[in-house]
Amino acid sequence: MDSFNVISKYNGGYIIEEILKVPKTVLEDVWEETISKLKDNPDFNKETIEKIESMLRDEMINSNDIIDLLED
Amino acid sequence: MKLLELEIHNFRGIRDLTIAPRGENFLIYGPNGSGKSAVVDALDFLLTGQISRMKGKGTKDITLKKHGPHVDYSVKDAWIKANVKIHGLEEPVEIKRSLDHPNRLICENSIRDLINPVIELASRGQHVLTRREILNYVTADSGTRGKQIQTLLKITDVEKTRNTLVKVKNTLKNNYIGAKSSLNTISAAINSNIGITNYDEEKILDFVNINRNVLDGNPLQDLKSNSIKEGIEAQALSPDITVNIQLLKIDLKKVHEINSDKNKESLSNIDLELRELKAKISSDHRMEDALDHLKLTRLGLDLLGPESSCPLCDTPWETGNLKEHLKHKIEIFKESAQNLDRLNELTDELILEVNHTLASLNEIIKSAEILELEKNVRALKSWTNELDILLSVLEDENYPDPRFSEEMVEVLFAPNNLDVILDNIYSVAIEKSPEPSEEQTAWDNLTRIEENLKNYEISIIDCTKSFESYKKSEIIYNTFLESRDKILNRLYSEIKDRFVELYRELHLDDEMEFKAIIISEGAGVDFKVDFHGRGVNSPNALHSEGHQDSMGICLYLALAERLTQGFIDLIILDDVMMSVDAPHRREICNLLANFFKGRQFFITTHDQTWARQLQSEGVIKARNRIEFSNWTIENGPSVNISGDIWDEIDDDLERNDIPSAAAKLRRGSEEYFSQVCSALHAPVRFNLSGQYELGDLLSGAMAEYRSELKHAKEAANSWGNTDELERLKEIDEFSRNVFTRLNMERWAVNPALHYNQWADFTPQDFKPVVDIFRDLFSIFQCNKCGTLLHLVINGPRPEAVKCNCGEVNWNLKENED
Repeated sequence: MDSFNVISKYNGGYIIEEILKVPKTVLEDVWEETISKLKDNPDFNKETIEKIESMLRDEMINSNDIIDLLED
Repeated sequence: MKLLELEIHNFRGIRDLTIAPRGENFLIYGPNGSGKSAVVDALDFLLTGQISRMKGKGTKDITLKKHGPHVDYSVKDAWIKANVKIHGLEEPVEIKRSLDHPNRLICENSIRDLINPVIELASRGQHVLTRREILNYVTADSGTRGKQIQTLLKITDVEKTRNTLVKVKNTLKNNYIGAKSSLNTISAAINSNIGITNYDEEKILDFVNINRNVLDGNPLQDLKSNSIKEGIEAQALSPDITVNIQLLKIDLKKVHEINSDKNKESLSNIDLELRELKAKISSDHRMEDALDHLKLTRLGLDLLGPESSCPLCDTPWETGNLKEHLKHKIEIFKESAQNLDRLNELTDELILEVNHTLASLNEIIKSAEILELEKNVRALKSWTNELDILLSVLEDENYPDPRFSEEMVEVLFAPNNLDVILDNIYSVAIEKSPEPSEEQTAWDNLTRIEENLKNYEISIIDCTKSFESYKKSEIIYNTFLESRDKILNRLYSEIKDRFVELYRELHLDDEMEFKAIIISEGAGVDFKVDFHGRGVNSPNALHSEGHQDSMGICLYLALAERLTQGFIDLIILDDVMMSVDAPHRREICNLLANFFKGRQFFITTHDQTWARQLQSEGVIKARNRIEFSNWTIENGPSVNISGDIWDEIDDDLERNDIPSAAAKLRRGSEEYFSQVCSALHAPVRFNLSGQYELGDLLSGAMAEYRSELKHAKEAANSWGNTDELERLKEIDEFSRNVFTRLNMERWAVNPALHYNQWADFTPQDFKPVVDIFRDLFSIFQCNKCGTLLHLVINGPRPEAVKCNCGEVNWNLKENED
């Protein structure tokens, strides 16, 4: 869990001293672990891993995108 | 984040409502249909822009824009506003959301970066527990419990992703099977051309070189499609030659043989053995399971690369050990392996027969098309379609299929008039095409081989690529599963201890040694609990529904605490109490009050006893309890803000409304002393209707109090604890004084006897009565935490009288030495 500083009020506005990060979801944790293992797997090159990571940045993964990637 | 104030305008069943929880626990009590859940929906909407109750199964026709606003108002007039306190920010902030722009949270721009993480976390919904979810969990059978718990824990996205990966894996597997099937068909066509059973490069090369020799070509060393006709001249076809009679004759002969007795017997034997073996396996579940394990283990062995980790789950192994381990496992499945191998052999034999037939059939169809024998072409194409279906059933391991009778399979679905069709094609062919020269036949042979080899080479590449893709999808899938189990087990391990702690606290009296197992298992969760030290079982195996209910609450609280810590302190319990019995409800109150310091519970209930308990046990302050009733479309619920009973009575006295003050005092006293009697286990004269007179409740409560105080003094004396004894004597003196005063004035609150006299009372007359009751109430509760004194029973005798914070703690156990 990220820590955060007290936010001070200044001249009618707030000074945010540290941006909070939302804790990862279980799914995000699972993918992070999965990707880290795939990086060590010789069957997966850097480009494929980066493409999977890029897919994960948008919403839930889509089966057609993964199929296209693996067939590429 | 804590909720300080909430304002709801024209939302669901509420017209206008403002409540002020002030960052403290808050309770809405009211009957079903009074609008409680609309407040929860409003909070849900404010934080997430959605109403979770309006999503999911059975909500197909319900939309936020149409059904979110109050029925008489449009989305433009419907909004929710709140003052909230956010971690790290000293000042409260105002947030607002309107139904006409549900995705836009209105707040000061300067705090947006700070509020966004809270909103994002809220969108995961882990701060709301509804009765529906608990109900789903409780009523789930063992097969679906894992899924229900995942829903309760709001981690269904993991399962959705797993399903997506399964889809990927299956699609790529099917692609691979398809590619393999094409390869088999093409190699069968080559084999058929040459007259060999299995694809053999050397034999094919020999065949090519024999034909090249006829055409004066040099022999080739390597078999490649683009060099088959290298260095030989194309044969100039005679204009009257349409089909090669020599090659057609060979193909026709092969297809004619399908109807031969020898062929029928051979196919029939294969088919019969295959059917019997399949029936044997299907009738034995253990055999089926063993075959699945064996296939997986063999796949693992096939995929095993030079690296020293499992190709399916990436578990590290010492070099060589995994191979040995897999071989050993395969050895264990010896009997299954024999069956599986025989099954594969028979299936392959049948596939080979079909492919050989298709290879010849396709060549015959080409000739029939050249000869313009449309009717024959249609009949033969229809047959090839049926053979293709049979092929896919065999390759997908779905054979036997009820569509295919033994009689059909023994002739490979050949049409009844096959001989007539084939004879007709041959007679027309010899009529139109003269006998070809040896050179022409050699050239045609090479043309066929060249074409088939080209397809074979493409197919090999397709097959290799599709296998690679399939293999990668298997690896991603298995790695994802392994990661899921690791992450979930870590999460479950973290919450398990808290879950057990909370559950034990609830069931101190009967399950002090309670244990639980929560581990990730397959797609779900293996959730088992100990039953009085007699072994672990599913929650619904031996525990009562009430115990299962409280397990659901404890599991949820433990998880919500873990997942929202530091961001959302607000936990919403929407009508979650169902079958938990009264004593355990009191313990749940204790749990909420003492185990979740710093959290804000927003609770709704239709259960009056639970509402009272939440207040008497110190979870909810009187000012933070509101009551909904008499809901109407036009006005929404009527809201009774309970406040402090003494403030309300003082208000009545100020207005000179003695009857109202007396009624409130009586009703409040009845509620209060029914809780006191329950907490002290006080004997009350039994009444079958369950309706007790205030007099009965007061007598019981006071008698029990005096009795336990007497025991406490005796105990203190036996231990030589003079300080405690003196303190108890002071309490005794004060309580005696109050009891005496009460006996003198108590008639004043009895409406049955003295209704008419109220009219003659002045506030000055009634105020001493109020003061006595105020003192009386104070005797039965802790002046520090405000919770009721309760009897602690452990074993046959009570051992203490305590409050929840420990400020009051009368020892009742005497020194027996």
